Amino acid sequence: MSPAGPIESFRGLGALILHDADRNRAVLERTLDQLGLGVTVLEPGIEAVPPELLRSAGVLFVDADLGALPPLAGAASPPIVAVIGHETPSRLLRVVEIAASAFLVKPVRAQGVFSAIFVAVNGHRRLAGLQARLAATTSRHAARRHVIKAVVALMQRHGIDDDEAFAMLRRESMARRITVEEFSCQLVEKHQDKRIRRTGSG
Amino acid sequence: MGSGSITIGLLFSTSGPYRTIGRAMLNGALLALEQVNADPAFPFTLEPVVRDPGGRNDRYAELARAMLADQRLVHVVGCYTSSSRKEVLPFFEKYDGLLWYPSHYEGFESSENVIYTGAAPNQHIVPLADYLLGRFGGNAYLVGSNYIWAWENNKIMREAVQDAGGQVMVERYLPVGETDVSAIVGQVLDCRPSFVFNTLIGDSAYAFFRQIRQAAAARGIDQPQLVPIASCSLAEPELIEIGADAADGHISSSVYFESVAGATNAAFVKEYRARFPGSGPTSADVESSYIAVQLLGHALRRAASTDMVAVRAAVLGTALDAPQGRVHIDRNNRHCYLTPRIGISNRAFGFDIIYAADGPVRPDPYLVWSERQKPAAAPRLPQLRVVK
Repeated sequence: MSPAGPIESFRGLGALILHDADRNRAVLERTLDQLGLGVTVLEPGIEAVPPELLRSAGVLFVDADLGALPPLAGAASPPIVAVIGHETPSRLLRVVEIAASAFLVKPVRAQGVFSAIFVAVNGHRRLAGLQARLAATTSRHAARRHVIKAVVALMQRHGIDDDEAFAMLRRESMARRITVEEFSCQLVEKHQDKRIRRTGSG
Repeated sequence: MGSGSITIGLLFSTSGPYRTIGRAMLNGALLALEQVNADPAFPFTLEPVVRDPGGRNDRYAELARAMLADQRLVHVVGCYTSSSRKEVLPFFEKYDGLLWYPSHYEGFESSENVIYTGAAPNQHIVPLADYLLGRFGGNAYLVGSNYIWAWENNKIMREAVQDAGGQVMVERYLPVGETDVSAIVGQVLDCRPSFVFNTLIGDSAYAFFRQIRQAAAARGIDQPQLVPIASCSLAEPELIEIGADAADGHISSSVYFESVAGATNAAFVKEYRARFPGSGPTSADVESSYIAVQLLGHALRRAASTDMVAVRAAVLGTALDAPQGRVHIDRNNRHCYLTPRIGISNRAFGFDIIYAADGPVRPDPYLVWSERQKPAAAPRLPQLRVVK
């Protein structure tokens, strides 16, 4: 299993089940056991799922027909598979709200469970990767102003053009093993400190 | 068609929490079955196998499986709640059976193995929402039993209220069967909404109707005039359950009331009361299961076979002069064209019909084609005709 490719085996993965005690849950428990997952069944009326259970689980099956659900959506939640009985807007809205990555339609059969885990786990991982990249891009975007200031400061200090100034920034940041944005921030802060000191003394 | 006798299943909960409705449905089915058997136009008789799941979903599953797998029946009329229907559906799919489902429900289904003869949401809640918003104003109080029927109907009502520029003041749910409604009664009378939309079922609903009438009287409030309560499931036998002191003045949206005018309904009511003297008035539940068995009889005759696919094809070309008016099954979704009506209950445990649609309305179980789905709809007057 390469970390870059999709996850194809779920042996040893912890599965949480939040589902009414019925035939569907029994089929789900049996099938997950056959696929090598460790199963923990939650009380259908539970008000909150213990955070350590959520963090350690590899996949969470949620009965979309339950009257009330504990809070589930969030960064700490594992991939969620919704188990849908009533295909009605109020229930489907909830499937979207808990950010399910895959679903099963009742009556649950052994067939379909593996597909749901496969799609949920890999889809969730891809989403997590995209979210991490989005966070990185957002923080780079926020540092854009500092990079411009650093380029201008270097141009003025060394009498060079913008290409040479940016090349210098890249070289120096690589030498320090930090990003261009982080180095630019440090440079601009230092520059400002100097200016403040100069203003203070002058 | 073999011996001239065709066995059909009747799966109704005549015991358990919704036994009042289950009994009404069984009666309606039996009345239609006996009429088919007495009519020489039908070259066969229908033989009923009657089973009572007692309102328990696991029993519905067992009994449906036994009818289809062991007794090899193809056609079963029955189920009431959506969860009971969902429970038996896999067996109908597996054994090529056809379920004739005679209850109004919240929609969002169209199984190839079901003929739906009860009202779809565009035939009960949508006309009711239009009427309430046009007649009473936009401040709604929503109260219901905590399950799918109430959740979906309240979602549709909430959107209708918001589209009309109104607001949902409160939305409350009680567990099915709960009869301690005093907190909700007090809150309703404190907030004084334009109307209450009620999706409580069974004993909870009856307790709510009785207690709010009493509490309103104690505060000197004329409840039917000032805090009207509207439902899309309230039927004649339930008015008797509520009792004489609080039965009148409630709004109900339904495709059938016992008071529907016309010779067909008059004959139907007369026959029903003669055949089931202790069972009280007819109702939408009686009529929808009556329609289901009548349509089944006609489809079996046209198909000249009990085969599921042949009978399903045959029912699409069958129209019926039902007690509520002309009905037929929609080709695309296998639901029934029905005529929406709005009635106000009276002291005689009946309904005075104040509005009726111009004719049968096409069923729209996914609310795809209804006005309600138009974005940013302005408040509109009811698209309904005055009967009186």
